[in-house]
Amino acid sequence: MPSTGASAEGPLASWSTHQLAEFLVAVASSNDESAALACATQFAAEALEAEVAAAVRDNTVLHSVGFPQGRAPVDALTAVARGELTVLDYAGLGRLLAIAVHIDGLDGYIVLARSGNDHYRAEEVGLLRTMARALSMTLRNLRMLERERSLREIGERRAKENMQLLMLLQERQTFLERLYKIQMSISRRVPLPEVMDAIVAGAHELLGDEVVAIRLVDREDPTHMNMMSSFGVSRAMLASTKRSPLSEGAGGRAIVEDGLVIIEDYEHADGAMQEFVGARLQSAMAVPVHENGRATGSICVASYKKGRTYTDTEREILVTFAHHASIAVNDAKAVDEMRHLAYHDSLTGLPNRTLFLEHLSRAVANARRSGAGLAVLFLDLDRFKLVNDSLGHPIGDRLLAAVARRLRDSLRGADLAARLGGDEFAVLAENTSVEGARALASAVIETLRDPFHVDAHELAVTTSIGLVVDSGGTTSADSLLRNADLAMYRAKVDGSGQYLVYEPAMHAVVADRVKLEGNLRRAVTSQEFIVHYQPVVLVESGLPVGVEALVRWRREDGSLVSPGDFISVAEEMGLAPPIGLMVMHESMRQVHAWQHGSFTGRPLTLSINLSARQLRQPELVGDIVEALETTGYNPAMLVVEITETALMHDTNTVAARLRDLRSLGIRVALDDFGTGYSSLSYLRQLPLDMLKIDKSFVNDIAHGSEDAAVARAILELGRTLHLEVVAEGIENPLQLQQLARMGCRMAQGYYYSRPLSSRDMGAFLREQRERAAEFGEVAAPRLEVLTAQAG
Amino acid sequence: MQSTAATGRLETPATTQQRWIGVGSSGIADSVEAGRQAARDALRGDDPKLLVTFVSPAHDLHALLGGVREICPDVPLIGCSTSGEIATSGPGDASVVITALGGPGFSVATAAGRNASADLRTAGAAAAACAEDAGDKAHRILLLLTDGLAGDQQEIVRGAYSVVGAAVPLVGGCAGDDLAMRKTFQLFDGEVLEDAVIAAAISSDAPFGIGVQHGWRRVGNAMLVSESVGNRVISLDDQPALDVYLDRLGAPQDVRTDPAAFTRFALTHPFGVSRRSGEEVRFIAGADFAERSINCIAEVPQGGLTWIMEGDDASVLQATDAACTQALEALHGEAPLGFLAFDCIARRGVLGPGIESEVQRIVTHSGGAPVAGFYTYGEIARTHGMGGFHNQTLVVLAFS
Repeated sequence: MPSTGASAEGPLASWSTHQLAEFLVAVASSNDESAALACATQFAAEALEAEVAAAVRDNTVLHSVGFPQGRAPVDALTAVARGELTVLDYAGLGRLLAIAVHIDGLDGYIVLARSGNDHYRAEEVGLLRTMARALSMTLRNLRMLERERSLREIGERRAKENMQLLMLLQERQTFLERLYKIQMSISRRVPLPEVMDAIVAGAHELLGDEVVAIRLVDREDPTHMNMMSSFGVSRAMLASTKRSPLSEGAGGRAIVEDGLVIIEDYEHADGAMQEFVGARLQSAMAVPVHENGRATGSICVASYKKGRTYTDTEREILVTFAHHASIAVNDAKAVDEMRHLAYHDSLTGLPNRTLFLEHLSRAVANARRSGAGLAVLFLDLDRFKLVNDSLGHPIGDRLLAAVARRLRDSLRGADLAARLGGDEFAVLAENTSVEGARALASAVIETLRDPFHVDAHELAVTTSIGLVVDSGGTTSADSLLRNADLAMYRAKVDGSGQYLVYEPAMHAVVADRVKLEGNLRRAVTSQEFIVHYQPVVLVESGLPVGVEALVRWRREDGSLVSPGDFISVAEEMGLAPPIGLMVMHESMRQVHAWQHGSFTGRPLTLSINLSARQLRQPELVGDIVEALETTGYNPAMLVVEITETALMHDTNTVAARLRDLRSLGIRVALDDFGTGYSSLSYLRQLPLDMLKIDKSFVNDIAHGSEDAAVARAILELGRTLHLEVVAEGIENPLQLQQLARMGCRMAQGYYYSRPLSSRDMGAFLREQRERAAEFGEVAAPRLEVLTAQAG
Repeated sequence: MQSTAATGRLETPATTQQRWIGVGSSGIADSVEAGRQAARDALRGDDPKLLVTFVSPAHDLHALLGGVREICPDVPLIGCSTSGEIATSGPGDASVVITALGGPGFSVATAAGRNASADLRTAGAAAAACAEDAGDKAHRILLLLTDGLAGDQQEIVRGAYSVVGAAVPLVGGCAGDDLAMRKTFQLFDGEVLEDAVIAAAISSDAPFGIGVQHGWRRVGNAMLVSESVGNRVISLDDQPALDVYLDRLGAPQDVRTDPAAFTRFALTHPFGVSRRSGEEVRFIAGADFAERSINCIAEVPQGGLTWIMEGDDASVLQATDAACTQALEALHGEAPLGFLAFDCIARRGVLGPGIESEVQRIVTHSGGAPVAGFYTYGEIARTHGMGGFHNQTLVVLAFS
């Protein structure tokens, strides 16, 4: 029997605890359910010192220990499991005490039976039960692991299949990558030859054929085709096969038939290319390349390998490559078209501003090298806006196209015409002199002068041209164009239908002009325009009989600007009417006030200047009438002064207008007489009342010159035609003396008074009135008394 | 102590009409002659059924077997190498002790399981296969001799058990090699085997008796086997096993450094693994000084409880008495025909020269019936339950 010895029993010494621990360790190392079950069964038996043990489920013994050669008594064991038996008979051993424990995870039992009389203690039963629970958990875990493992195995099997698929996919992937690269190069507008090279390389890599070629039909000679890109064609071969008839080879046939061509016995095929037959080419496959839906080329693969046949997949691959080649070809064409569009005006087909500047830059560079001269013409169609507004844009566009055509035709081959936009054109003439440029400008003006026939309309077009000539390429393209523009602008201002050569001073003029325009515009709204008055006197008495109203521009800073410096600009800007109206109203009001304000002993006449433009205005008479009515001024005391040059244009219209004014009682004076081109005949036709001798004839009148003779003649003319004559610009008594001797009755000038402000004029008039009162109404001229009033 | 064939004649021949047991031993150096002599001496009757041969590894085993076969050419033979031999005349070394049994009352079949280390259970089962052929006499045992260095001996026992079942006791021992712990031999007919399990299934008209006692007692507190792998104990109470062991026992310096010294020391300080009834003693074969682990020759289960055991002359001899008594009890008053003693080398280590008196005691218990046995690396005795492998134990098989 077991020997006893001293032992320190503590909580650690619990047998069943450590048995359980051992059990757990043992079972944990099992790899599968049956191993765990066997281990557990064995362990439980050994721990409890049973001779036999078995795992039973559903009347089956899953595992047993201690029964010889697996002869476990299943019925008895099952009975024990069900609690129906507590002993087992064992041949040779006798009765064994049996115990069973349920294993949840097994849905079965472990049965133990041992010899001897020791019944199962509580501690042993407890141990068994705990083992049972632990085993259940283990079985469940193992089952899960098993499931996972088998899933993993399935997974691994699938992985193997996938590997094979992957290999296939890799091939496909390479193919797609190649296509993608080709696509990208097409998108990035890589030059067409490079795209073709990429396609050829791709076809070789994927199909493996030793020879690949892309051919395109020769545009000049559609019976032949040229190799654009190839692989595996030796230099020698290339020389003889680079250009070939469409009737030859798989590549040619594919174009002609516009379809897939396969030759698998090259030697004996119809239309085989002799060079390749000689080289022992075995097979070839070709697919057409299309441009705008038409077969314009082909891609062909060919092999020297015997027995080379082309599978469906390979055909598809080649078709895909051909498709990409088609895209590339179409795209290249589209790019060309776009490039053309980018540089050309769509309406006229002429180069646009961008292209023109490019050419100009190049011309400047050339000129710098060669020292030659170049000319830039900047053209503007006068009054084109009128055509557009009156006849509509479609007509306007057609006119522009016609102008462009005529312009282009009129130029030398080397010259370049461009449309800059709107109705502006430019011409570049290289290797030309100033004279040549002038001649060119004249020629252009002339050729465009002939009327254009657009639809049913006959349209006359004039053009203003700015011309700049540069030699030695010293000015940049941008500057040249800008200067030509400037010159054109000046030309336009000066009058339509002419050209003007650029001068650097134009810049200043323009700058000044621009400034002036701005100031003028402001001046109108800020009422910077005022009226000054210069008296018209009787030579006899020196007493004023009238005043001339003169517009002045008093700037913000107080300075005065005389009309000569701004009137014409104001008129061009269309500012004249408001200024004119202001002058009319103001002067009528003022003189009316003087007349009734006892500033003068006798009625004064008011002279106001009218410009040619004003005269042409239909509203003129109405405006004057309105002013008369508003101010209450007596029209019989109003004189309108017009210059000779104003009469030159639209003489009929002007005459009619003057007659209208005359009918109101207004008198008409001809200013600066003697300086214009008026013929004496129309003097008689026009309704005139007065002539004013231009000061240029008064200047040297004292020195007995021709001027004096002219003055005398004018006076005589006036007497003959019953016109009053006023001498302008009297500056000294000598002039006055002469004029008086000639019989001139009225005069005007600094000698009497400068133009004065209304306040000063008011003062002047009062003074004169006092003087008149002093000497009586009509007095002999007392020359020595007369003094020029300092204005 | 040397025994001579002549000494064997002092024994009272134990025969019945039905069964006889004879033990012969020889101490001469010549292996062939020693084999002849021992065999001749053992054959006490006719119809020998089995020769059980315990031989010192000092002998040329082939030669010795040759000598035995000359005398008994056709008798089934099982045997093994030892770490010392036991004969009726007393313990010995470098000798050979042969037990012969025969007579119509015995029925024997033998088998060998080879390549045990590859699959211990299968080897055990293979050896036990002979049980089927041992006839169907009333009483049966399976005698097992194993290569103790092959692996977990418990597995061999389980294997044999799975074949014979609970009704057949298992008894036997592990071959030795004079404490070299290198290579042991198992004898099967004319073959000298290694890494084998040899079995003889013996059925008899008369009962067998098996006594199992060890004589060790616990020292100190129990320890938790916190980590072990198979036969290797790696840590006790979460400390390196070797350190715990040496410190607990206050081992001298040479034991701590010299593997041979350690083995000798550990021989008398085995583990005792906690079991339902008592402790299962575990023989400590050696240690891994680098790893600080202890090697046993059977599993020390992780999670279990173990004590360090110790013994002394008195307790060992007390166990000897108890084992013999136990074996005799099973004979139910029948006089024994002979004893086979499987005595752990550790017990010899404790007794030292006292092994003389131990053998005498056994002989006394056997009532002069022949006694044979050897000093083993492990003992096999399964009489109840499933566990059957022991260490530091004396197993006595009494024939009747």
